[in-house]
Amino acid sequence: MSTPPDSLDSLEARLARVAQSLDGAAEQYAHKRSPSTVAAGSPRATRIRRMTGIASIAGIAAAVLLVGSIVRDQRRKDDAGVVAMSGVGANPSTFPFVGQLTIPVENHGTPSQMYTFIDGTAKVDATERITIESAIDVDIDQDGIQELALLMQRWADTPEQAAPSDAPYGSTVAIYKRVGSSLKLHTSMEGSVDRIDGLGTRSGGLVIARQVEGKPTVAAISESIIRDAVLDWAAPNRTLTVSELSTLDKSPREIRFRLRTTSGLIIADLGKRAGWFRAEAGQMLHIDATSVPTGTTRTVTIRRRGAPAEDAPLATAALPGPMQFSLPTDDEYEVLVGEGDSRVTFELAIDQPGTVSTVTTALYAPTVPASVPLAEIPTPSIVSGASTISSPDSLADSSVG
Amino acid sequence: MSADSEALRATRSRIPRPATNSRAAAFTEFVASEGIRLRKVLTARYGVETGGDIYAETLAWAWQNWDKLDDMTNPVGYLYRVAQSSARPHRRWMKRNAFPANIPERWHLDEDPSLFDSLRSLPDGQRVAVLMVHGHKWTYSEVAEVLDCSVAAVTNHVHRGLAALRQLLEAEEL
Repeated sequence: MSTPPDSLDSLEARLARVAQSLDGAAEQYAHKRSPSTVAAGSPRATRIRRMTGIASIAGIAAAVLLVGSIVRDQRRKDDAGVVAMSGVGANPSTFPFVGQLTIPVENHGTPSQMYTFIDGTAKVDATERITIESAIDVDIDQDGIQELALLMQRWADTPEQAAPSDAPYGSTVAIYKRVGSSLKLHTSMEGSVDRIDGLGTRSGGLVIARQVEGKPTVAAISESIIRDAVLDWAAPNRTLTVSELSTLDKSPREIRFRLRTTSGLIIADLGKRAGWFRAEAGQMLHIDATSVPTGTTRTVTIRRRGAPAEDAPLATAALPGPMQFSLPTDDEYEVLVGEGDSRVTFELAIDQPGTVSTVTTALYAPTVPASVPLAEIPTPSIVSGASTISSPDSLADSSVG
Repeated sequence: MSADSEALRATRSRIPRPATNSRAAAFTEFVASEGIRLRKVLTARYGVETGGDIYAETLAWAWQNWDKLDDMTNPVGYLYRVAQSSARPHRRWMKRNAFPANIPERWHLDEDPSLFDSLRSLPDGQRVAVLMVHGHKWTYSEVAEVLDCSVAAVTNHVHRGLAALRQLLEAEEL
């Protein structure tokens, strides 16, 4: 666009006046300040700088508070605890509860890092092996709280019964917290547990307040959920590798284990799961559902482990049972849980007929496929091989006795 | 050629590059010559007070880094960049550098308010180029040296700025 000469001249003249005015004003403004002020910046610049500094400090403080809040929330969410009692696992047949193990398998942490889950009884060493001498999952549900309360009370009442001869009972209580993908030792307490002062929940976890050598101590136990875990809850000194855990299917599901070594009662919370166990000939398998949605049934199938898919199952049952089955040979058996939208909880117990004995072994392998066509499975509630022995209730009772 | 450029040329021919033992004197002479140019540009870009503040901060920086400036071929262009960095805190609080910002009435800059308003609405680069070329009668190359850009860029700024200014003024008159 061209500008007419007269217009441009007029505009240039106006611009010149404006420029001159600005220049004069700028000179006056500069002369208003002493050389020191010039060197240090103008009062206004100093004021702005000061305000900026204050704002920055306030911003940083707010950011720190925000980050702290987020971290605290995350820690609260991540809290998972392990209560470990040293010495009490030395003779698992003596003690109904021998500890608790929580493994966040979904993100199980750095395998090469050593975690001592249970002091003296279970640990993850640098070779990525978890050695579990014996352990028990103390769940967060009401039963778990009651069980733990009962356990603690029992220990408090009869320490000589619970304590092995070579290790002082309850000498160390260690609390582990899950921080991100790792288990970190939160705190440990030396000394015997005198008594239980209270139970409650905090941050989604279980809080145990108790006296340790006369000092009130609060220990937080949070969720103990074993996700996608393959754990060999066999007799003491079983081992499994962390790398095995990491290769499992990561579908969202969970297994809870409870092992009562005196009774051999296993409670497996499997959902749509399958697992296997090893048993001896003549041992009795008891299956009894503890939670099946009302009006529904879930099929449980027993097969020899590794048998061809076309082989007929050894036994089937429709949960809720109960079901009892005499295991015919020394072998490994699969337990397959049928399709269903909801999770069921049922109990497996393996006993010598007519007696209550210790479980020899049980391994729940989430990756075992449910290879039996469900439509072909007959659904009697009790199948062959049943014999009358101790009921699950009596097993449970005996387990804590 | 503008009076500023003549004075600058004379100053440059008269003043040797600052030596270490006469640092203060060299700095003073630098401010008296190229510093004036820098102040004009900063005033045109940021206004009287903000531009003056930035100018002062830039000179403080120049004093502290005089050895670094001594080796440069275009120290005033570099200082203009320093001034732009110094302007960031001002921009943060002001959102935008209103031209001419915070002019006290005693400076009587309201003689041509419509032109000031039109200049304020121009982009910074165009406003600076127009004011330097048509207000202070600088050559394109002198403006390019201080702004540390090409002459072509200054030419574009001037032409576009003038066209926009003319449109704005005509619109106001209508």
